[in-house]
Amino acid sequence: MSDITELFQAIGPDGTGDPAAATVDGDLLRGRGALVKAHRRAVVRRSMLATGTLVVAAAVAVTATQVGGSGTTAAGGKSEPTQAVHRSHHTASAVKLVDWTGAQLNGFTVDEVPAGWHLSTSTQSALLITPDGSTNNDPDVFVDKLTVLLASTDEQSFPKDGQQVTVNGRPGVVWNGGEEMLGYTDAAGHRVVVQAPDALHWTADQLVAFAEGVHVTSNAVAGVG
Amino acid sequence: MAAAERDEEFRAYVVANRSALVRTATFLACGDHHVAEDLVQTALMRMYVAWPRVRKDTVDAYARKALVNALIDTRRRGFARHEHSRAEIPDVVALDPPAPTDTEHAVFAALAALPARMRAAVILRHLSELTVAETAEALGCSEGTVKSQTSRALDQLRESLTAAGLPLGARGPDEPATARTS
Repeated sequence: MSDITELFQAIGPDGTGDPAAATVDGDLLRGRGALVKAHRRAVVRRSMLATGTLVVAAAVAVTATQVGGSGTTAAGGKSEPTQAVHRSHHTASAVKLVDWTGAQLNGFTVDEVPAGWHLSTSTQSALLITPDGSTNNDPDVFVDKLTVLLASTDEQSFPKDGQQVTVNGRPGVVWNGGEEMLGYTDAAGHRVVVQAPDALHWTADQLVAFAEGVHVTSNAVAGVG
Repeated sequence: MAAAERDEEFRAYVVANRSALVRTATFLACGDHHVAEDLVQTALMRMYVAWPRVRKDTVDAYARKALVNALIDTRRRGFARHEHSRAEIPDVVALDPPAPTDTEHAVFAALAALPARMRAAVILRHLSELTVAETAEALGCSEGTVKSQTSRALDQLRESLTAAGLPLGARGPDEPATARTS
């Protein structure tokens, strides 16, 4: 072993040990966001090649329809749909928020959920909400789910170039990480990320409206590392 | 590949290998833990997208290459400082890594004086202990380039560390032959 190798091995962070669950969740979230983005780019590229640039807008519309086609009208399931609609929305196809009257899960409570959706499962750092009838209750899979994630305390910052918003009077930012994302720090200091699947067709205002009804309980734990 | 299967495999890989990637990235980032975390996140994000195409027997090599590419891209875009500047939002104190020791400070400063690819070459050879061929694969260059880059990097490191009071032994053809004296 060379002296440089010995020197390198004697310093720096430990390269062993498991990362915090929330850190791994964050890696998954970013990867899935990048994948969605890559798929969108591929669809648009194919459309442009096939029919020319004039149909790009149409291709985007088709993409949106395809992506949004699942889950928005799912019926049945265990939610208790009642529920007066509380807010007007910017787009006709956006899934509206309704009161959540079902059981709350460990770590987080919510005031409202998208109509036809229910609390699926939670971990100590994430709450997953799925369309009624969905059988995907895997807590480690966020695809097509409305996800509330407690960000790792080691993650540096939310993107600076997103849309600045206010969540319960506190600053937040909305950006597109493949899906619509909202990041903010709540009054208790929890760094919260909400990821809304395309199926909801939510604007930044709708993301904020949902987030304002999210409450992180003392059982929730943000990871480090 | 089904989404659940991809997620399961990727999660297992991250759990098993993330700490080692952070360690390598910390050297590539010359001790800047924030940049190191950015490099790892970028590399893992790209790996997730490519996951079905990544062969299981070369996944570690793929990860190293993704890490080096993230470093080169960062340098190319010149946003190394911009990437980790904080937004106004977080008002939570993150757990700071331990302060660097004098030795770490000297080594990371010496590494920072090297061009990015030269630094990557010496780190992959002498921290990750890759072969010349494996390093060439990770850097996307010839084995001869790896040898010359590593040799020059060792010369410069030796000079910088000696000036910083950390003299090392005399250098061999590619690797130093004697143990450091302090």
